[in-house]
Amino acid sequence: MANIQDTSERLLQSAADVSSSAEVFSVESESRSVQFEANRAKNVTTRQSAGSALRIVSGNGRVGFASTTDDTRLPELAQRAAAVSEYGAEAQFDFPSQSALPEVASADDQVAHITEDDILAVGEGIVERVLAEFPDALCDVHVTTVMRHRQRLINSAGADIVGFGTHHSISAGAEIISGTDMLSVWDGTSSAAVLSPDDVDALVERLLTNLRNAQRIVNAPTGKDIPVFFTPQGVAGTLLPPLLSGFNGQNVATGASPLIDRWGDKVLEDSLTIYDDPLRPMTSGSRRSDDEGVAARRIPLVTDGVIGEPLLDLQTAAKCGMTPNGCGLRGLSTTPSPNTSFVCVEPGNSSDADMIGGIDRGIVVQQLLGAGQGNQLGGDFRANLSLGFLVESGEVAGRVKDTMISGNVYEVLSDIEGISSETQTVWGSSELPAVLCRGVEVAAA
Amino acid sequence: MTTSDTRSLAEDALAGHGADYCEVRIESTDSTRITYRGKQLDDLNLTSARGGAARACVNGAWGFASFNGLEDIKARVADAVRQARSLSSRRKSDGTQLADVEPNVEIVPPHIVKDPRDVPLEEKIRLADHYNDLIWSQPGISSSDIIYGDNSRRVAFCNSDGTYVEQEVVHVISRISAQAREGADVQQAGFSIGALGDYGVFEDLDDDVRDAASRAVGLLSAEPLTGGQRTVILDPILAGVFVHEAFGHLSEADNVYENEKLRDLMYMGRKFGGAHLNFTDGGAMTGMRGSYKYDDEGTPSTVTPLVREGELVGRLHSRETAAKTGEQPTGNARAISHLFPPIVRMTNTFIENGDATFPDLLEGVEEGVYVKNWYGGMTQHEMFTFSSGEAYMIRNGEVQEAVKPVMLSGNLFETLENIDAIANDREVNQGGGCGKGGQMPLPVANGSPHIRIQNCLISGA
Repeated sequence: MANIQDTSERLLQSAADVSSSAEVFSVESESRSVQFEANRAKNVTTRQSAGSALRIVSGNGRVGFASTTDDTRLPELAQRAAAVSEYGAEAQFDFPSQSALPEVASADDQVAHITEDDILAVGEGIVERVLAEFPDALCDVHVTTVMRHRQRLINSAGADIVGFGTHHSISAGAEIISGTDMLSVWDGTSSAAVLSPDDVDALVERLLTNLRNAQRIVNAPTGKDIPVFFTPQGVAGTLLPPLLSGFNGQNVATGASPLIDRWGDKVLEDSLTIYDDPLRPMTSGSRRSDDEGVAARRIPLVTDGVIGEPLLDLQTAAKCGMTPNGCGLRGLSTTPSPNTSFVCVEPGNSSDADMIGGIDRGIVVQQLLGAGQGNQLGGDFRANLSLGFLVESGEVAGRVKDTMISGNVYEVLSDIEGISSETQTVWGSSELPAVLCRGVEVAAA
Repeated sequence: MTTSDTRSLAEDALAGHGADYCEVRIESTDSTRITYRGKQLDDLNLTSARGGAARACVNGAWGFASFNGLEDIKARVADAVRQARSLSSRRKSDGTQLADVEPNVEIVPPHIVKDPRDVPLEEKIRLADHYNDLIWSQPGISSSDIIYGDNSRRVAFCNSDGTYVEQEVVHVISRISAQAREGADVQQAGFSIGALGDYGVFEDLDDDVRDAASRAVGLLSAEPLTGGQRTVILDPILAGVFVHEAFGHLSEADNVYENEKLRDLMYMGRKFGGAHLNFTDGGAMTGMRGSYKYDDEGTPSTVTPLVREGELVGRLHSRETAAKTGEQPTGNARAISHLFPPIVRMTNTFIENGDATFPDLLEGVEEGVYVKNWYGGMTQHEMFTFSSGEAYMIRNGEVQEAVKPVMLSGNLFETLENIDAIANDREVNQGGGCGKGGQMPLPVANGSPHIRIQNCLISGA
């Protein structure tokens, strides 16, 4: 593909023929991943991709959008965007001019220097350590490096913003079959920088701890008044998605969010503070601006239980009568929409061990199967526990199977019993403590 | 690009590759997407993409390189071969094992009933707008979502065994949903549809749209169920999702080919339930979203009986899993786009008709739940979940009031045993997409008659 620099400018010039208001978003990236399957290296994948998207606001005040990864079709992009704009959404925004942007580190040149051999050695090391303790395990390891990600946004209002990113992620899973029981445990870690041996150690330790705790199968307690300890992975899988859908500017703009008239109201537990932080350096969401050219800033979602502000892009901000707050994110082939970058839940006061130690009889939620199905928008969550544990007299007593949890985040998060003082980065996109709640219904076969 | 251009481009790229096996895919797609959110059109999007991928195998190790510039495919083939070779040098080798497939050379035209590309954009928008108006004509509606999408994908495939296949597929999908709220209580109801090469599936949906809107409002006053084990009857749509999740995924041979213990559990002839259980998957069934002539390894599609009279009789294969398990290739290696290598996937997956009728299934159910329609489903080995879009109480053999939709969960080794009745009213659901290994949504179809399951675990709502 042609150089992103030339392509963007040529495309913006060609758009001038069809509209005085236009924006070009271009992306180039190069990545590699190595996959271990059933304890052995199986597959090396490399990807090179590049493409451009053109968005215009036409004379009739409507949005036109077209994108391509085929550089032979770049010349027709302006005409296609113009054709779409005849029917497109009503544009209630103007493209922003260049604004002062914060500095945020988001790339590390060293990631490009990680070799296939380095990756294979890390994968082999993980497999070896799991097998040393669980010889029957079958491990899958997936290591991905984004060596280069470069994006550029230019618009007819004069904004010109180039963003760089790199990425290094490792996910690992282990599976042990005994009889008709299939135990499957997985975990992951990621960063914009090169992951350290300590990061890998922590990942392996978490895997091993979960495998150890899972060896004994026990019956789950059922009912609605059971203490439920969501690990950071459990919080990310169960509680965050329905909650964040209420903050999404699209749901706020259409009136579908339960939070539309609750900004500034105390809705959740006092101890709960949640924000989205694109300014945190070297995460997978680190950035100076959003993908529409609006400066990034920390977004207070919940502060001491009080509902803060929604996640907005240009269009939803205009529809809500609010100011865009830099959450307009996108892939190449879609128009921007509001999203989070790196969600943080503020830690509380007691350690994980103390919180679990205080549970007489309850469950730990770690991995979920099927979370996200159902009425998320209303705050509902429900899932099968693909990895969950019974706690008895303050100690993890074994793994529970064929067990489902369900509840509503707005109810559960207004009745929190404790938030851990320890936090963990989950899947590279959030930093979360464990949360202990009641009001979750537990059902079991 | 003409066929002969593409073919010589691919063949030149493969010449002298130096691996045990090598293949090239060259792909282009065109997509239209219309999104209504609330009362207005929210997004209208035309996307075109072009790219390719090279894949090579050396001593059982695979290299894969995806790209979107077509200038230097030979270099990308060399990358894939180099990656495979370097991996094979560090891996205890069991050699490259691929089931034999006769080389095929064919240009396959798309399956077209009513081509969405012949329908003006204006008409698609007019219809979406009409459906949105219908939703809003229902009192109590607070928001709506309509997604319409169509895409055409042209793929040229060439491998070192002499196969050259060009195929084109055209898909149409739509999801329509309505939301209702009362204070902080937000409820939603909707449905999904899809078709291979047929815009007609998006037409004449007025009744379904009105029904979704009135169900959304009705859910505000529906009672939630308490979680636990219950007798459930699944409608054909949800039962289709059920067979996909509960059995289909474990039929994918990439789960078992390097997993001896799982293979021991999933042996041919293993009994999973009563003689009324008959499951089938097949890309060679024509005219559905999971239908195609050749898979993404150039293997002709087939129809594979998975379960007959309650016993495991078949599974789904790529060339590699077929060779390693000593079974026949079934043409189930599919890639969602040039960004991914082909992996073993389902196509059109069915529970075959039984002898009973829907009234037979209801008869004798003192208290149970009739679950219809779907939100989604997911599998992790023997455990699976699937979610209903609608749920109704059954009392004394009669379907009664709506309750809040539920999630159902099961375990392969118990739930199939608990299917105690299968009706004879098979229907097809083409509104779904399947996700696996980061490749989502892959077009699939599934279907079933009504089925009844005893002691099925459902979540509270």
